[in-house]
Amino acid sequence: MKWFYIISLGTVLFLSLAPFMLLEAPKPDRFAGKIVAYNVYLSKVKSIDPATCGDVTSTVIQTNFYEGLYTYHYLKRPVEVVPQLADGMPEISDDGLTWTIRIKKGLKYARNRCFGRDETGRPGTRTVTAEDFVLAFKRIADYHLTTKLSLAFIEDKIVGIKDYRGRTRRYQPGNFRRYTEQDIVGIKAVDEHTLRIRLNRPFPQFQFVLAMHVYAPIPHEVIGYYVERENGGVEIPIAARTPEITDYRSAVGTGPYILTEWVKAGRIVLERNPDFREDFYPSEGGPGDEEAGLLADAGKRVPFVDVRYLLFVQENNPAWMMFENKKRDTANIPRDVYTQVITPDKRLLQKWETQGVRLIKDAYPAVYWLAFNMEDPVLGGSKSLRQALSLAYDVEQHIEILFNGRGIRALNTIPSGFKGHAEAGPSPYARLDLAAARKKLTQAKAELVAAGVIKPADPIPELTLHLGGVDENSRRMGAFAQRQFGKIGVRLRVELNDWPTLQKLVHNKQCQIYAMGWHADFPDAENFLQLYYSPNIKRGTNNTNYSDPAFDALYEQAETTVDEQKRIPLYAKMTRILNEDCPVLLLTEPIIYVLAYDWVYNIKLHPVGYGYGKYRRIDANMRRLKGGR
Amino acid sequence: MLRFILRRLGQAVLTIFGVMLISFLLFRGIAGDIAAIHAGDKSSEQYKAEWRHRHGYDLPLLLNVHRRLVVEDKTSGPSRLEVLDVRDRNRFSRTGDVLELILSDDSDHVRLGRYVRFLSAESPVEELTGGKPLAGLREKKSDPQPGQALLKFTLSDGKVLEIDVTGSKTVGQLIRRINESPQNIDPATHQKLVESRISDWTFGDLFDAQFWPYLLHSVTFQARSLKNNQKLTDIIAERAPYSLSLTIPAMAVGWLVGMVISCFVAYYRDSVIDRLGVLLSVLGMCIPFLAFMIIGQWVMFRLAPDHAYGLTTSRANIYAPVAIMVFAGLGRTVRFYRTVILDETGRDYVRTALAKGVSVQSVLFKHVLKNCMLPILTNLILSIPFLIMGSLLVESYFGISGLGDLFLTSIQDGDEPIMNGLVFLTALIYTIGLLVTDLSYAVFDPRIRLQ
Repeated sequence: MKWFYIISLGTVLFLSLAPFMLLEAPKPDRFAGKIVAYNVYLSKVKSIDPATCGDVTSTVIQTNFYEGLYTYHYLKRPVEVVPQLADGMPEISDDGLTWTIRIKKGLKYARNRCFGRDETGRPGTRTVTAEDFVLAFKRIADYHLTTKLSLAFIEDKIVGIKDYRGRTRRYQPGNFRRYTEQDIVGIKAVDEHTLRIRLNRPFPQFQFVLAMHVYAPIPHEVIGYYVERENGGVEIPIAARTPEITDYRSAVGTGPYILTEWVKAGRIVLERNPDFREDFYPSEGGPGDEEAGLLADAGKRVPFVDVRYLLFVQENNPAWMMFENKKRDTANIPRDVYTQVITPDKRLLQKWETQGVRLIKDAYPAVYWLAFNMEDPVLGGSKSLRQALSLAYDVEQHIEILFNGRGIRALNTIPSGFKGHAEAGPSPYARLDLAAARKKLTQAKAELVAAGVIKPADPIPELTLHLGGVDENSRRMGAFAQRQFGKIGVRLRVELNDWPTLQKLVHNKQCQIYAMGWHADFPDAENFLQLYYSPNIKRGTNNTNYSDPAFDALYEQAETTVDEQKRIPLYAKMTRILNEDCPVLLLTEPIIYVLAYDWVYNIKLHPVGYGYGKYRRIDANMRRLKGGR
Repeated sequence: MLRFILRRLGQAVLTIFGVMLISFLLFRGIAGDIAAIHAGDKSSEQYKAEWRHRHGYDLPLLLNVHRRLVVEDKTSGPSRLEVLDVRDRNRFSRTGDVLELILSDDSDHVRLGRYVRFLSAESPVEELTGGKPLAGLREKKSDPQPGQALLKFTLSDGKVLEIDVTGSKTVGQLIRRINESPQNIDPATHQKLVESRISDWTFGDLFDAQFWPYLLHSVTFQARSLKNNQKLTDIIAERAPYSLSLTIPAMAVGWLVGMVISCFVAYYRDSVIDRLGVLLSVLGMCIPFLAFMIIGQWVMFRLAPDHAYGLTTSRANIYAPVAIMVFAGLGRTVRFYRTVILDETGRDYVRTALAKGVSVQSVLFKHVLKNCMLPILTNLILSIPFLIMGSLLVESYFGISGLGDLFLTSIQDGDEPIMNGLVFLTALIYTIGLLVTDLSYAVFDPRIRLQ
């Protein structure tokens, strides 16, 4: 029996040492003497392949090593497209259909084993050519690669994309000869440093599309070394190959950083790319940038930070405590600690200011709303009903209660920072006016009776609101909306769904009212107005099923108007139609709050662009003195 | 004995099959639009339909007794036959597709419409379109006039063919309209350009449905993520060590500490110590796990902020969450172990031993404890599946990149192969665990020997 006790104790001791047997020891002090920026990422990185990138976190990570032809100026507002890998702005033919883009000479990829080894035995590199961009477009158009948004922007815009996509279907997914045997008619490498793209029809927003990193050049060596082979060694049989880039070592780009470590659901380490081209901090800025110290580093070579060390933190609690303990340089404010950080008049509490924390606020180009299904007999049948509901909804209180005041009332369907917003003017129904709402409701009843939807004696039927979340926030939002509609005697039923279910219901047109929104893909009002263009009902982006011939005609006219000065008045006209028709109940435009310690410099939030980590500077000495790492 | 094992194995196979079937059907019931998740919210319907086809989501659910409408391209060329349905000539329909078009991969014939059970020439066209009318019917009085239903084919030699099928009521009529359309004749050769028919069905097609490939992939561990194509086995190999590093020490230490305390409490049965022990156990069971974790982490950030999150500074960081897991589980363990021990102390042999003058310690630690081990070990074996799967909350709060959230995220993200693979794996381990327990009972406990 004595042995039983000894063996049990021994087993317990042995088992409790499991971490030391199963896990690799962390390497200490890898970054001694280097400037390291510490931060966290809150949701998983879904992709490290530019073609399949579709979520914010992946974009934030990818833009450290992939770069597009163009980008947005870091400081200037309203935003401005500037060349990145391209040498100058594109030359556009008179008919607006042919775009010729010159690529900077001498651009080098980050060193990688797929380029072989150079004389000194280090991994090799090579110059970026126009062919690499062509390959990038081919991969995006590839039938066998599930892209998230990169294809949607160019699918019906560039000549031959659909055709190429049809032809790649015939190849096995693992047969990459389709990249050399087949060509996209509309995309051509004229010479080593010139790319020519032909469009189906004039597409003035194409410059914004090219400013996305998803069209970053891909060297064919990556396919040959990593995708067709097992890490450069044994060839993978065609049937077992997958066309997506998934190994972090195969993320080869031209950007300021190299992805040197990626532990899934763990951490990401980005280290300075020593061969990064000469790139400098901008010397011009928007108004107020000079005073905010954002131009102090003007003209200096970037990047400033050597290593970007990102930990995956899923929960708000530890993420916030890491900031509190100076383990990370910047942070968002989780809901539950909001009142411990921000005063009622939206400023930073004294306690944090004395610790050197700064609060940075910026409007985010998104609009949230409650969408009305225009094919619903009740809501689609009565414009006055939609107007009445808009007038009855207290959006100011909605922002205060549900978002801690972090937002502004959306006045029309275009975000306030975009051209066209001011020209269109605020919607007459984007205000709280219960008397007017009641009046509109009486009209609504008459309209519905006339249309035969309800009988004269009936009240307005009970409406249903579908929300795309099952958490506490959604419950509160549902209850709030019930109170708002209840003020004018309209009954509302709230149904909570998870996000995919809501999408399915909306797609099948089974919802009456549903909470939706749109985040800008590029800084042009077209991105928001296309949501009401009736052919997009079938495409799925117009989910209110709004259809108005006058609006469609204006949209089609604006689509091909290259001159922005002529386009803006069209946008304004379209917005005014929407203002009157109220296919959505406009709620908010969010405002982002970011906290940063004073050892971090050059923080300016960008509304649509990514990849500005290279401009950030950190005073590591100050951080150490103040108790950080 | 052999017969017993075989019978149990047979039961196990049936159980696992049942679990797989139920979880498959349940998930289909709640899943939402999987194509929208994987192909992106902003992509077009056509693109989503292609995605569904590529991943077999257009197939019938369980058994394929379905037929479809097939259109064959009689011209041959390098490009594929492309079908577009157009209504009202330049305007897309307002009620959705005329036919839900899903293009097949075998290059030269195109299948139109969804799979329909026992499709025949007499079936109404609505069966192909999911109940939607074929031609653009008037929806409002203000609509100008009912539209035309046009099928537009792009043939592989680049010709475009437009066939008016307005007014077709049955599938047979639709087929005739396509085959006998005046446009459908090559002026040079007088041959048909495309030919339409109902697909053949043979008995071999029966299992050409969504469920079986998934079952096969799960059982052979070939499941690959829809998100990034990673193999389930690779994901587990990569992340299970983290989960095991957390759960194995927690289980071992939890067992030891639980045993010591419950022996102590049982020894002083019915005294103040016993009452206090039970009270504290119940109290510990009442406090939610999350509370232990938040408080534990708060304390860690106060005491050793460098070691409070993640394993990047040291592997020993893992002992903070291990301690929390042990502590949070203690209430339950002590209550259970105490009951088991007291159960045993009430038996006749204990009374006899005590009556014969054997000391209490000796009885407790030599005999009782040994006999208690059986139910306790059963309990431990049953928790083995959960060791590998990790602990969702602890892992996400303490930055341990284990498998804890894999199940949850695979359901949330609609990553069905991974989810099914995990269901299979859990069911398998659990069933094996039960089998081993039963066998060990039969071997070690002479009272439970089977006839």
